[in-house]
Amino acid sequence: VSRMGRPLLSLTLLSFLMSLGSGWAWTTPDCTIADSSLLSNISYYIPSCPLAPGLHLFASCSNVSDLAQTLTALPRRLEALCLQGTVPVLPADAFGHFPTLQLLRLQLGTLRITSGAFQRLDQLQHLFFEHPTPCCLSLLLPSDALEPLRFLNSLSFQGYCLNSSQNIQLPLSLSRLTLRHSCLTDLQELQGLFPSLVPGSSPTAISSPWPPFLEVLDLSANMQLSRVGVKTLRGLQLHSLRLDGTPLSALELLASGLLHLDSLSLVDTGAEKLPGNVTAYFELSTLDLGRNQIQHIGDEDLSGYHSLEHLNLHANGLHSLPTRFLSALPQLQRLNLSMNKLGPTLALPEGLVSSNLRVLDLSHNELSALPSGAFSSLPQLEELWLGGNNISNLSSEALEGLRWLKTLDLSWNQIKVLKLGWLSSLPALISLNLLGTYIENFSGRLLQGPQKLSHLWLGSPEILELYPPWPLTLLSLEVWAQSYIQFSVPHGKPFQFLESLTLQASYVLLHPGNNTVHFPSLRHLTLRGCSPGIFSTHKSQRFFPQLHSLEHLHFWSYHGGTEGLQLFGLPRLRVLELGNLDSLSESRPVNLEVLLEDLPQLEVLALSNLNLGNLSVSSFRGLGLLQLLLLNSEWALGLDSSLQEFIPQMPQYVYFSDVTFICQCESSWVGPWAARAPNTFVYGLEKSICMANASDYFKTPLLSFLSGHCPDNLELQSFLTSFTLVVLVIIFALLGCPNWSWLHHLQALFHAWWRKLGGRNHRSQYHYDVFISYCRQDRAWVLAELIPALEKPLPAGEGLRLCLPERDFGVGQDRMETTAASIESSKTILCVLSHQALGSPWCNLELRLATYRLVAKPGTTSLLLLFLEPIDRRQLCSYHRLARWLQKEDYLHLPQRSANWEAFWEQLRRRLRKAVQEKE
Amino acid sequence: MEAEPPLYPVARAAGPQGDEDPLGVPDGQAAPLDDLVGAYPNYNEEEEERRYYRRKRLGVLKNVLAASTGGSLTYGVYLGLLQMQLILHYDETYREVKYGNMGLPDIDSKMLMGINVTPIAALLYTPVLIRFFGTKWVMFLAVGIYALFVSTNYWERYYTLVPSAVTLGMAIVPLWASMGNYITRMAQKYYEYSHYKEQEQGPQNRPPRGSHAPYLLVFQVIFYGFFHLSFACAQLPMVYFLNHYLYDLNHTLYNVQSCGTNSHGILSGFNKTVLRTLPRSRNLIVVESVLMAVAFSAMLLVLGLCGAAYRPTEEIDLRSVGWGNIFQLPFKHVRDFRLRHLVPFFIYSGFEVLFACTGLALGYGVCSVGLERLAYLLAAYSLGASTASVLGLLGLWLPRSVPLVAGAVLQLLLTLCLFFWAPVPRVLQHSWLLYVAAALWGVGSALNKTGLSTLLGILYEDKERQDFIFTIYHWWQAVAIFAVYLGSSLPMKAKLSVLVLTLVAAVTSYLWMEQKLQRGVVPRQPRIPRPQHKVRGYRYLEDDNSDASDAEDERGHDGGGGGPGDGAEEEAPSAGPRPGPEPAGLSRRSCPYEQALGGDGPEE
Repeated sequence: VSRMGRPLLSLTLLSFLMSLGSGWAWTTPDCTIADSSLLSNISYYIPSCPLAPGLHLFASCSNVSDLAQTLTALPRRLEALCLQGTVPVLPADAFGHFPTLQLLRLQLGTLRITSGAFQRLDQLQHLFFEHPTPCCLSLLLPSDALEPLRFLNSLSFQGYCLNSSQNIQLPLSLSRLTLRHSCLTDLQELQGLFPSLVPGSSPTAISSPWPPFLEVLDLSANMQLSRVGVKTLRGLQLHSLRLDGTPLSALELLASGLLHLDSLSLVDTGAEKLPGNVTAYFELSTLDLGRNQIQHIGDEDLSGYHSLEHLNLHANGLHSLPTRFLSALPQLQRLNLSMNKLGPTLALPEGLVSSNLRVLDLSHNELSALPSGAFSSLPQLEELWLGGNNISNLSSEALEGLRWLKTLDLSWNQIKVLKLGWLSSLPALISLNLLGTYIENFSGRLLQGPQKLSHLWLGSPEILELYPPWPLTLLSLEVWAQSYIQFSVPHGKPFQFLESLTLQASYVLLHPGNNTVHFPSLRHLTLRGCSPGIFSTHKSQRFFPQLHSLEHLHFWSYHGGTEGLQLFGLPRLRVLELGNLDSLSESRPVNLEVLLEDLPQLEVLALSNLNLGNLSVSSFRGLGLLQLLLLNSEWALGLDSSLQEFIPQMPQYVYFSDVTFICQCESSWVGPWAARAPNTFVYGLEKSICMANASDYFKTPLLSFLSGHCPDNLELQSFLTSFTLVVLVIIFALLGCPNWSWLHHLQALFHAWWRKLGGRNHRSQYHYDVFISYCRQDRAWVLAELIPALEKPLPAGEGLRLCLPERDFGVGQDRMETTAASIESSKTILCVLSHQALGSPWCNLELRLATYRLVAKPGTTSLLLLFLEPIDRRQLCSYHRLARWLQKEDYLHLPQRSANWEAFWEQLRRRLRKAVQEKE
Repeated sequence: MEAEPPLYPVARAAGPQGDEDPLGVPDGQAAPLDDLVGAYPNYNEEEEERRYYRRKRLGVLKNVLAASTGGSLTYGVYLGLLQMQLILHYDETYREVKYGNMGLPDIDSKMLMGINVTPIAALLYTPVLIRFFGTKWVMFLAVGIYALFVSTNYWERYYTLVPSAVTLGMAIVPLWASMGNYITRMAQKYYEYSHYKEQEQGPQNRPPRGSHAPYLLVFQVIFYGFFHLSFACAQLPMVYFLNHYLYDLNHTLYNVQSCGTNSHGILSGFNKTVLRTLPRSRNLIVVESVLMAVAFSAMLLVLGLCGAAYRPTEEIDLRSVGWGNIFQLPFKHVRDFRLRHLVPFFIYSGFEVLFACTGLALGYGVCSVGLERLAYLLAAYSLGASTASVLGLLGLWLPRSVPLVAGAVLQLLLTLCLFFWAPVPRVLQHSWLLYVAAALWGVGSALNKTGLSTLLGILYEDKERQDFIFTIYHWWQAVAIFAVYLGSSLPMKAKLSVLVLTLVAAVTSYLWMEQKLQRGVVPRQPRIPRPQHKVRGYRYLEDDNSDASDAEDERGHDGGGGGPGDGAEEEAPSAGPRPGPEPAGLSRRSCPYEQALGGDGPEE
């Protein structure tokens, strides 16, 4: 990208500099780098990377085509990395930069992996090869490619066909192997792929000291997997096998050679009956049969299920349970019967009272009534899920006998009224969910009974009024209502230990309006749809006076932005998520400076759909600890040039998601900052567009606008200007200094060259061909001999224009000046020298002038000396002895005898002719 | 003046001292002018002469002041810019955001190499340069090159910074050598102008040896007073600009473990980011423009206000000894034991100034009290040095060795103290100690610099060899600076030991030299050959005997006797066998035959 738009001093110089100048390089064009420990719902805003627990710092790159270039821009201390794009070959030591990488997820299309590709990934625990559309791309994995991964825990191939790879050596630490959506047709193929996994059948397998062991083998979604070879899995120690969505018959597993299996998942296999013998053979403890067609279970089907602890019959269209169900499953702890058709009246089979069942999920079963003592046969029950049914009436009798129940979910039922003491039979209840019910007046007295109730969800479609007293043990409270929630303020401190509060309503009211409600231990506060008045500057409207312990505030308002919102009294706030849910109305600009004035501990700031206008340094004053800044859905955002100074203190993570900028050169610093600022990770600029004004719907990418319209060549201009100035001063000072002869010589040569270059125009400056200098004593000879020989027309003489002082000088002219002028305008000067001439002052003067001219302006004239008689060199002035200026043929001696004169004339004429021609 | 000033000097210019008018007017034509001047009724020749020489002396003073300010401004701008740019470029964020993948640290290291390494070659060309262009013009050219360096800092690229740094490195030795030469020469001129009566009475007599020493002392004090101020001027960009952008010491020194005598290299563990906020490029341009303007005005100052160091004829003579000789003569001066004995001192002189700027200011100062106080530390050094330059005047009353040795002893004591001092990082309680140490070191520096330059001016009085001597002096300094550059990663204790060893060697060697001189050992000086004018150009139009200018006449009896020695007693033994040419030089040029007898015949 050229930085120079306008030509400055010289086009050539510019083009030279431009060819040398380095352009901008977008180092991480499609990568997101984020730390999920800062903002847990970061994936809501920016492309994320599915993480394993305990991992936070991740990078997610899309459209990768040049792997090496993408990877060089990423920080070394990454923990997780997701790559999506098209890379045909994974080169050796591709991820050597990232010694701490623990999770690697590759969506790179058809892929060939070289054997050293995963070198130096000592800490890698999860490796995923994924392809989003089902089967199949080919993946070539050399047998020793996985060897360096000494701590690999889970390995997954999804949507890849491994047919071209053979003999893959799996690391010993591997406990989870996934092959989903692959082209597997027979379990026997596993032998060829992973010989170390199934050693018994492979003759070439290297015997290893440990028997092969896998926690989970996931072969789900292999549409063609229908055969299990005999004893194909012999020798493999396996805990859990997932065959979801495969046409494999469970019965065939019996012959596979597997000796032991704990858990089997057969989700969505179209089964209509319980696979009883498989369960019995392996003594399974977990069986997942979700989304199958088992509509009826007979008592006879339940033989061999003694060992079963977890059973999932989710979404099977089950109508009823067999009467011996619980007694046939004595070990059952967790039973999922959700999304079946067990309604309208719950009829649980009678069973042994000492049933081990702890978790029972009956949600979405169209239940409308719970008979009294419905769960009396399940005394150990700890969790009861009844959400999504039609229960309208609930009595304490129905819940009788659940002494250990901790979790009760009654959400999305038709409950309108609850009686006092309905929870009296549930002394151990901890969490109660009443979302989506129709209770409009909820008094704390309804909660009497349980001693440790700490989590409560309340919701009603329209309004909800809350009355004291509230249990002191409450830690988390979530209240939903459409129009308003009213808190009736009790005496004392009702929410003494409440840590988390979620309110979703248009208005939150206090019953005696002038009172306040205190939340001394509140740490997480989520507000959805509330008016910003809840944090108003006016004390009378303000709902929350002071929240000293609040650390997380998520505030989504509906009512035209954040007018009147001011956050103060929140000294420990670390995470602030602020947004306007109403995306249509044009909200008024938000003054961040006022809003964030008093939040000294803020680390994370996420702003959505607020009209922020122009961001400048003052907006972030006092936020020294800010680590993450997220701007989402902003319209016409400007970044002030004063932020440029703020670059070293910018938050470490800055994200722009769905932001439209204003096209202005003020923000031209953004480009280099986003691309190159160390330790700052910026996402979303390269996709952002900008607009010149409100009516501009032409989508100019921000960065191309900045590079195209904001040339920053002031530096270059100043450099060129000052440099030229200094050089010129040096040169002119040197040229102007009169002290150096070489300089004069150069000057004279230059003059001569210039004159020669000027060419014929200067011919007019010569009036005469020859200036003749002689003294009075030699006049006779000159007039008699010299003049005719030179001046006569061609056949007899030379036809030269001569200048004789006595003849050609005008009357009344100053002789000195005229002499100088005539010498100036003659092509040649001929000095007739004799002893008398040397004594004559005029002759000397003319000689001197001629010599001066010869020396000072070489090339303009030539000097000839004609000696009438022999003259000793010493008698001649020193400057005429200068051999340097006069050449041999410039000295002419008149022969003593006039007989030789003819030759002499000839010589003189030739010399003069030459001199005259030179001047032309 | 009421007595028509322009006429009078012209009349006087015919005399041997006329240096304003190179083309001496023949005596014959001066006669009518005398009539003209005589027309003034109250013409007092004595008074007019006195006034004339006073003007001349003021001119010399003006030259000294202009050269000193010019040099100081140039050096201040250069140092300030370099300091600012190095700090800015050190900051990782600034570098990456502004220059990205340009590889600025590499460019900076190459630039420093250019500045530090190139002067090593200066011994080869500096005398040639000075003789070719003349002292003043070399000063001007070098200042111009400094200005070019400043100018390239607008546009920092490999192809601007590195070439300009190399050129700058080439200009360092010529600049300071010609400055030293210039100041010495001005002192001699001042002596001539203030003792014109003696000259008139006996124009053939040379001034007594060491007669110009007091003036030299004063002028060098003035020069170094200004020069050391340049370190303070160099801090102005930091004080007024950069300090607003810097992090405080708790950030910058977070990882610094050891300081002072325990430290290794330069500021190991110093934070990679030092800028709290980034300066905008427009503000940077403003600062650089101010620096550029100062550099430019320094150029104009040197150009416009510094008169020539020599008369034109003298310069021609200096130039005419033959380029081969000029090239060789610096090396031939090794024969002189005085110079040989002073070499350790020259080296130490380079060491100590760089130690003040890097070892003391960075290793002790910045390391413990933070980058934001660097400017004040260096300013303390500079002001200490600048004011202590006055102490150089002690040489007027004390023996010349006293100030020099006193400075050395002061620095020796300081170095020994520093040897046992490891200031704690991020602790400000002892910062006053640092300022005192810096100022005292400055005192030592000032005594060292004024002492050495004065000593050289006194030992080598004749103008034909001053430029060689100062070239050698500054070349050794450049070598020392190069050595410091090479050894910048050494542990502080090693640096201090080297410093102490050099200092002890320097003082011993110097005192030994003084003792030798007291004993009357005659140093061997290389003979400066007679100027050999090539027959060329317009000079010969002026006068038939222009070859034998007044300078030639002087040379005739200065040098003609025992060659251009400093004095009869110090003449090199090589001059012994040929006392002959003395009378010959008086009236005519010696012929090639005679010069051939003289050993160092002209090359051309």
